Amino acid sequence: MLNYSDLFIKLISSKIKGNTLKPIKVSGLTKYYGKTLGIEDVSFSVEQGEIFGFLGPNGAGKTTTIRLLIDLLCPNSGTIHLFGTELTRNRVDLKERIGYLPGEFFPYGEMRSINFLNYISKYRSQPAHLRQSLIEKLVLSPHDLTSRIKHLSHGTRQKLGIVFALEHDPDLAILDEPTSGLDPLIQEAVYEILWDFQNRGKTIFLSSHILPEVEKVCHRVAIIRKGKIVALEEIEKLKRKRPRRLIITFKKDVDENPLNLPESRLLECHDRRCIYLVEGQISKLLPALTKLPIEDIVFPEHDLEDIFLDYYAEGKN
Amino acid sequence: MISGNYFIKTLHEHLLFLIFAFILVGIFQLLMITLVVETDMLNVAKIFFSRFPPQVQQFLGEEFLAQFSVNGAVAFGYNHPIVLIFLAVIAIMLPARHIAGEIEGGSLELLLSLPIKRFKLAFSLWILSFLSLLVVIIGGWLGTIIGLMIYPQISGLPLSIIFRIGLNLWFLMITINAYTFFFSSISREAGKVTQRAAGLTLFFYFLSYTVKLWDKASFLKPVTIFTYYQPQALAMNQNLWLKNIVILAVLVIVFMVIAFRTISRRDIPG
Repeated sequence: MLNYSDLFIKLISSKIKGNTLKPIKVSGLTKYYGKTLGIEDVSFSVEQGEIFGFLGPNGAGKTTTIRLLIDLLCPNSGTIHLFGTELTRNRVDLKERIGYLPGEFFPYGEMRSINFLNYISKYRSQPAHLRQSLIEKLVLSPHDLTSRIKHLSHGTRQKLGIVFALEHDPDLAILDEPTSGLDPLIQEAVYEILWDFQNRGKTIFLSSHILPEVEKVCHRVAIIRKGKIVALEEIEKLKRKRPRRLIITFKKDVDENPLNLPESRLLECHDRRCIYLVEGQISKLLPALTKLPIEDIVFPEHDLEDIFLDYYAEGKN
Repeated sequence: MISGNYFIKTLHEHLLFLIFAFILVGIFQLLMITLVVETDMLNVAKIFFSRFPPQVQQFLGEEFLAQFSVNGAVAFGYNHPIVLIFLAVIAIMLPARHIAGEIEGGSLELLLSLPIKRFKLAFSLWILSFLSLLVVIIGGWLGTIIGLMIYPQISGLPLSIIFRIGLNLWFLMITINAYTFFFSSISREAGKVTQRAAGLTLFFYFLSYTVKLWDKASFLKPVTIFTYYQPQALAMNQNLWLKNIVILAVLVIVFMVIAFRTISRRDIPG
């Protein structure tokens, strides 16, 4: 029989292993659909209180990863720990702490929205104490709530899905394209809701196609390509790592042998306008620039879209 | 073991149909008794039978006439295609619509993201199917019993026979329900499950007639589940009903164990 000291040692050792407190820890996760690759050797972890972005185009393995996290799919290999517990060991208790919004939210069409929420909440032990505030923030009207779900517009159904996922105040929200079909005002309301969750120490795993949204909301991102994680970093660090474009407009036409600049690579040159990729330190580049007949210079900051496209361009190459 | 929420919601969806089936099967059994008593069908059938050529009389056999006795008519009522179809619809519809159908519609994905075991959902659905079929068969029993009360002149039909026929029919239907559960557990489309289950049931049904009519095919008799439901023979006390029920029960257990295991472990596609 275990005594308290044994339990304490177990707790400490599992903390050292890094499983405890981490809302999500995925190791070597692989899923094949027959012979078709879903994801392969995917590993990442999500910290408590973090909004974690999960990016990738259609078919990259995003939804497969999410469905594995929710226990809708069985992995071929690898492990998933949620809050330090292996998912397969205590599915029911772990799901009490999770809120899930699928990419395509199709509940029972014949049910009225409010009846659906009432029906679903009976499966959870926590009360739906955030329901009213979410309904107000997402501007769901009494008519929306009493309508049959099949009669709701895509956007209203999506709002209902967000209420479904978050009304019980879960410790971990797994949201697949939460703002899909929502107008900009409601999108903003969703971001506010997510930040509020984060401020209260809740964790959000967010999959999205909308890169400015991820950039705005998330702290860290993972980019998945062809079933494998190709980047896993804080957004700011990711931006700093990637080479930036430098667009220079010269005062006169560039001759046939355009200038090579230190720490950078020439991408293209047309008339007086040249585009370089700055791969090294900018401090070494600046002195060279001062000596050139430059009319205009543009050095835009990377956005997530560039980074994302770069990763995908690399994949194609 | 069962989820009350899921059970009640699913029952609510099918309640009207179940009530309709309960009343229809009950009235049908009552009509069968009324028909036999009011028209003296046995004597009419004897007259017709005597006018058939000897070869046809031999082909139809004495069992043909037995159908027009009260016992035979009651047995025929529980073996009539209308009754079998109504019960088979319930047996097939519930697992097809609520496992494969809910995967297809996306609602099972939502349910399984909630703190509930897959087995619990599937078991609740099975219990609902099991009880729904029993309730409709009880409707038939009630129809027969009311008929016997209306026509007290009928004698020689013990209630135990009606009970055995109903019980045997119930096991036949839960066998159909069990293989539909199995089809549903490996599928993601309600339509395909319905096609497979209905197709297999029809195959068994026609096979049971084929083996009766064609001696060379009689070796296939054990293959069809309808071999294990012979209400006419039961009504004449000529059938080992308990053996039939045991065989059907074994089939139910085998299919349900496989179905529950598959449902608990399978991938739920998006």
